[in-house]
Amino acid sequence: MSKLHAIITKEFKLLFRSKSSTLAVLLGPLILVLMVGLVFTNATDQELVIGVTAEYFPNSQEYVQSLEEAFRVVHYEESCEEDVRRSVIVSCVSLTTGTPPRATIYVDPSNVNVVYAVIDQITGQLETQTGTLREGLADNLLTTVSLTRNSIITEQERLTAAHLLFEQQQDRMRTLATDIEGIRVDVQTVSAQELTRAEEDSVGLRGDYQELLGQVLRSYRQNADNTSREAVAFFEDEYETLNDRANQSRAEDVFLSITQSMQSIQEQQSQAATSAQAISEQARQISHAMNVPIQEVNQTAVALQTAGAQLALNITQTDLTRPLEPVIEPVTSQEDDFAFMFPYFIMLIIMFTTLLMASTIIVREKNSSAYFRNFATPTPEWVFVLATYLTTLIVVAAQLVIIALAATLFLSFSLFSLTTLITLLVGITFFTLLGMLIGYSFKGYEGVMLASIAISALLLFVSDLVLPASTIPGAVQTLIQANPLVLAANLLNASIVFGFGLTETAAGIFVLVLYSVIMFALIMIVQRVARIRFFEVASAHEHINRFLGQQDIVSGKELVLGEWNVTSKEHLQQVLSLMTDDEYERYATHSYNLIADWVLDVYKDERLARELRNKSRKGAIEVLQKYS
Amino acid sequence: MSKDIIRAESVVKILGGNVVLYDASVEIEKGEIFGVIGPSGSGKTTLLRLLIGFFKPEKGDVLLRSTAIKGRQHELYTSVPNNLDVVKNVFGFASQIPSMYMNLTVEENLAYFGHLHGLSIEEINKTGGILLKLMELEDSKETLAKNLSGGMQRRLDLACAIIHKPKILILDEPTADLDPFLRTHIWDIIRKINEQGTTIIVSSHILSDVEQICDRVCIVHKGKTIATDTPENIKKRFIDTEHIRVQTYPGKYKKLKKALSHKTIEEVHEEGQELVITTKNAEKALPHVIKAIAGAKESLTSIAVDRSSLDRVFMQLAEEDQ
Repeated sequence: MSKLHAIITKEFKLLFRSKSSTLAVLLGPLILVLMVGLVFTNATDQELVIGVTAEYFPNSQEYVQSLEEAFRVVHYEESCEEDVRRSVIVSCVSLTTGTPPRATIYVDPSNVNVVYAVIDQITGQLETQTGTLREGLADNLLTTVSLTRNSIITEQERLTAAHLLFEQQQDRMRTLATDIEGIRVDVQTVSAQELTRAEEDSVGLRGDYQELLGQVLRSYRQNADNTSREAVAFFEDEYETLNDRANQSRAEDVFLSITQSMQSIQEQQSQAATSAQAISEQARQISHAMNVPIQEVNQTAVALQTAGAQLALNITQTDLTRPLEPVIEPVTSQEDDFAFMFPYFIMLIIMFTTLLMASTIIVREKNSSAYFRNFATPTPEWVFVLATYLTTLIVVAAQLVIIALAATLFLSFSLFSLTTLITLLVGITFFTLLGMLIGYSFKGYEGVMLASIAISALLLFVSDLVLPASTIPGAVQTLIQANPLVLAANLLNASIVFGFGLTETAAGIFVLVLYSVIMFALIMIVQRVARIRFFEVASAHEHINRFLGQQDIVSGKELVLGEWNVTSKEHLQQVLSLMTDDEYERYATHSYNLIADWVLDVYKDERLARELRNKSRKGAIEVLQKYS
Repeated sequence: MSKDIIRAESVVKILGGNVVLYDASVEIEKGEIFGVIGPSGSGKTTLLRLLIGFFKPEKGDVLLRSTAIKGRQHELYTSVPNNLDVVKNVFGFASQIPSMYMNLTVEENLAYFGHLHGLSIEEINKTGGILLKLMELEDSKETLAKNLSGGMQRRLDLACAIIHKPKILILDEPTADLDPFLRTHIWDIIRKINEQGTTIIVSSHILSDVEQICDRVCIVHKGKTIATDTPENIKKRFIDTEHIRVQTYPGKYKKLKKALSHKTIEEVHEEGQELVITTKNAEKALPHVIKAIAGAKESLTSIAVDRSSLDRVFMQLAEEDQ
């Protein structure tokens, strides 16, 4: 543990004691944030200067006005095409008469995107005019529909009234049929009973009549005077007469006549009942037959009602002129484009920072004179690997804290959820190990820089960050899915923007962990190979000394450059090509140059010595080549 | 009984397709200063790296006396390349390029490598203090390594190499690029380290220094160890003649050459303005040489005797190589 602590402490001291490293580490992410921020800040079109030449035609001024609202417009009497070539203006718009009028846009291919902005502006104006026309037509249409609807409503009301009338008539027919049926029944009921009762009543009546006459006669007999006696006698005579007549024929005839009349009536009633039955039947049939027209009237009324209701929908001019109104709803609560890009931005920073930093630490260590001594200590190789990883992790974590605070303050994002932190850790781990692998695979700074940038560019281009995945061929899309940058960025996006938890992101995290394990295994292999190569270079040094170190100068005047004993100019050239820039700077700086001194001392070549001074290692090799 | 602390047994090392070491064997005794010399590209550095375990030999083995390893005394020798984890703390290593972090201070470098060797903070502070004093870096302990002079960097490198008190210190060209004064200073320090019981294995192309400081030396030539012995014995083995160099006036050497004909003189030849006289015993030949010069009516302007030295051994080997 103390070894790990010692190595990490040493790394930080070396990192912060080198001004360039410190600046790169501290300012790197801030510069990146600034640059990306500037890129994502939408520049206003008002800053674009475009030239306009406009012939007169209807609405031409409106088009120009529309352009003036969006851009800085410079008016030209004649063609402004030439000024585009001279980059005075970014685009030239020429509005010319014709059928239809024409808008020609001249543009430098490098500013071709401006064309779309201009077209948008012109078509926007055109759209406004077209919209006005469309709305007029729609207004007429709506008025006609409204009138039709009113007519339908009126007709529907009439039909409803007719329907009611039909139903009333049907009810009446039903009542009529019922009434007629009732009459027939009454007549039939009256017939026999009533006639019998009438006969009995007539017999009774005759008896009552005779009784009454008898009582009157008896009264008069008891109370009558002489005069009256005559009257009584008369009554008695008359009574006798009436009684005889009643008894003999008259009453019977009357009753017979009545009976006959009654029978006649009964027959007529029977005929009437039969007729009533027929009529009732016909009334029922009529009533039944009326159901069909009533139903049809009813259906027509309902259809009209529906049509009326449909026409009565709340249709506006806008509904007609804009049949589909696109509404874009972001799946995230964040409305800013940058918010959506933020996780990808973070992962890009991690990728670039870790790749460059981890590889640089390794190369610096490899080129350090202390590299040798580290091998001589009883410290396992994995401790050095782990120390480099932790150093990078700490630095990147510190950078991320700065970004995270900015994100929390200005973007309302939080990078402090468990899933986000785990995703970041796994992402940093992978890219750090990749950077270390690059560092162990290359010898010089140039090599690791080129390799880091090349790999970063490859990961960037084989992703959907530059081009939408849908525009990339299928085979490459498969690669994109396996791209660790995309994988990590998507995981981060899922956790930051959509708030996914560990359950949803576990599979992706596992894949990244797997990548990291593979990377670690590769590092251990490459590190071992790098160490062997390191010693083989040492042996190559000896080999060069042995076979190229020809004795062309007096023994004892060799130039000792570290482990090299340089014995000739050709030998010097070979040695310089094998040593690193750091090694070279031990012998040749601006203040002293042992190599030039040696050339002057041994070869007495002032010109060569002068040219070798203040030269870099490569420059010195070139000078020696020139003089060889 | 052998007193060796480490030995290489018939090691073969191939690097980049070249056989850099072939059948090289050395035995280094505990507490001695052992020199490895040889022409450039002869395999000295490879041999040192094999001893410390940076390389694994294709054939042969490097064996470390197990008593040198803390807690491992149940066997006589431990293979270095097969037991790197346990033997690394036995060795200290300093190459001709100071191996340290230039943007760390003297103290920080010592502390860093102390930690990597598993020392506690207390041990680092204690040993570090002693080493700063030994290396005369106390006043510069807070100075960045890159701001130290070449000699101070070399001393710091030595301090970093022995912060963990290694039993064996391997030094590859420790005085390269240093002026004579600094070279002497470094050798003094190395001697002091050795006096504290540390076995030192050193390679250097400044053979006069090696001759003076090393108890024994090993000559590596064309990838082989051709001799291992004390400097005196090496010289005797490879050099059996001495050279007397004279300059005379007016310098008519043709006549003089004839006058120098004597049984003690093996050969006479001209080298520039000098006359080089080869003899097996300079002391016996000198009176005759002076007499001959006088007889030839020449005036002696300079005379010098080249006694046998490792330099001459080295040059002889180089000539054989060509």
